[in-house]
Amino acid sequence: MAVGVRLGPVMLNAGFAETLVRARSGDERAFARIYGDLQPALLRYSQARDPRLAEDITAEVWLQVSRALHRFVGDEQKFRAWIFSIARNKVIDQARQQARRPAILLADTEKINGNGRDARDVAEDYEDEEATRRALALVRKLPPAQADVILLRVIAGLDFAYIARLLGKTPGAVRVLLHRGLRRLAGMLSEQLTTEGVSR
Amino acid sequence: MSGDAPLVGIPEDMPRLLESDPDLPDELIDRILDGQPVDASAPLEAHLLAGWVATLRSAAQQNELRGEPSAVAAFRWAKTSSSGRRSRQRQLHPSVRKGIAGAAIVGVISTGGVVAAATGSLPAPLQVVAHVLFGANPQPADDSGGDEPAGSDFASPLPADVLKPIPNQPPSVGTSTPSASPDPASSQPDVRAETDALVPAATATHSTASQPETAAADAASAPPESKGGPPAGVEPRGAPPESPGGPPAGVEPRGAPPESPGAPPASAMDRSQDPTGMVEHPGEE
Repeated sequence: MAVGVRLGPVMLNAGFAETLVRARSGDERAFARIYGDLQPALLRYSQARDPRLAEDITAEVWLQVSRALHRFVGDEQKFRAWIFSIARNKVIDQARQQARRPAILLADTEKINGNGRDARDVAEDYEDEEATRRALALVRKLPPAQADVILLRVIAGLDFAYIARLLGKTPGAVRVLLHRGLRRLAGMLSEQLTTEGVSR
Repeated sequence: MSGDAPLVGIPEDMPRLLESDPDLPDELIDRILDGQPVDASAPLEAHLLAGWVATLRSAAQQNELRGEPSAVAAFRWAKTSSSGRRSRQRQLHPSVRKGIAGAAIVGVISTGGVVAAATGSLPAPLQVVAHVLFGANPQPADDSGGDEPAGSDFASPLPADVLKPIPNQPPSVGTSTPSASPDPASSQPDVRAETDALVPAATATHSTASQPETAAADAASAPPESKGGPPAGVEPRGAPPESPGGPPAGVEPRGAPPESPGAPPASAMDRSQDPTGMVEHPGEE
């Protein structure tokens, strides 16, 4: 029996270039499509780094992306690397200035309005959110360097070259950090399973 | 204990981790990351890890997309704001260019007029006017010509005592302007006011008065956004600083107007905006 998993992070792939061109020219629907593609990963990345300010951080990221999008040139990998590099630096800035609130917080009270995704009932939503929350909580127990690499590889979907460039390391070092971190994470998952089994 | 010695410099939890971390081959981890199925014979940890990866890569949840309307609104705002700002910048440049070009022309003409008046090189009527206005050499080079210049003989050797004060008296530059006017008497107040407004430009060209053509070329070719800024009296219209109520500054196009005092430091924003140089700058596109 095999455990099937999603083939990598959600990506627009072939449709990205066209969507980007439209978004750069000011097409709001194209921008919304890019948002829908990247926001979940961006939010999860931010939650793993700083759950309290995750939504504020992602809001600032999108605001910044909105302002500079017309000057971006590159493929989807480069675009993701750019967006997550912004998020990563926002997280670092927030950590350095914990007392200072972000200058602009986008309101998060709007309801989803026709984004084309299937509706789920509240119970399923809660289960999904809880599973994601627990998965992200585990990453925070890892050494920061390992967590950084894992998040950028697993959630952001960046390849080793972009991660290495982002972190100022060699691709080889990134690969080593990734494997070590994931082994450690697998061990933590196993421990967690054992602990939960005992507590039951 | 003898077992403590090798642990110097190693994090406290490292021994336990080294013991408890599962021995998952790199290839298996890579397969999991690539989304390939995990064989049933693989260790339990591999299956757990695959499930963990799948959870983090799962489809968007409803709560994760609730900020979409706000993000799109911000996108709309940024689009409008940046296009307006670029439009204002485009409108600004011609006016500044005109101002600088005008300043250069007036400055060169006035400076040249001073030299011409001082050297007695002006046509006789203008030389008289110049003498009345600021005491330049009253005698044309060729006295015999009367009111009419005497052709190529109009130029004359320069009396040393006439030229001496000129380099040390910048104010005389402004008053010399009428010598360049066809009707100094009638146009004097207007020209004087204009030259007063352009004093810095005229003064700047004064130092190169011996080569007026060079000064004119230099002044005319200076871009309006040069570091020296526009000349005094030329208002840089259409480029007000950003309003304090605006969003935090991202990466502005190079040469953008200064950010508001409340905006984050440029260095921080630059790093946040494009820490890896992944955004193409206008000049690189």
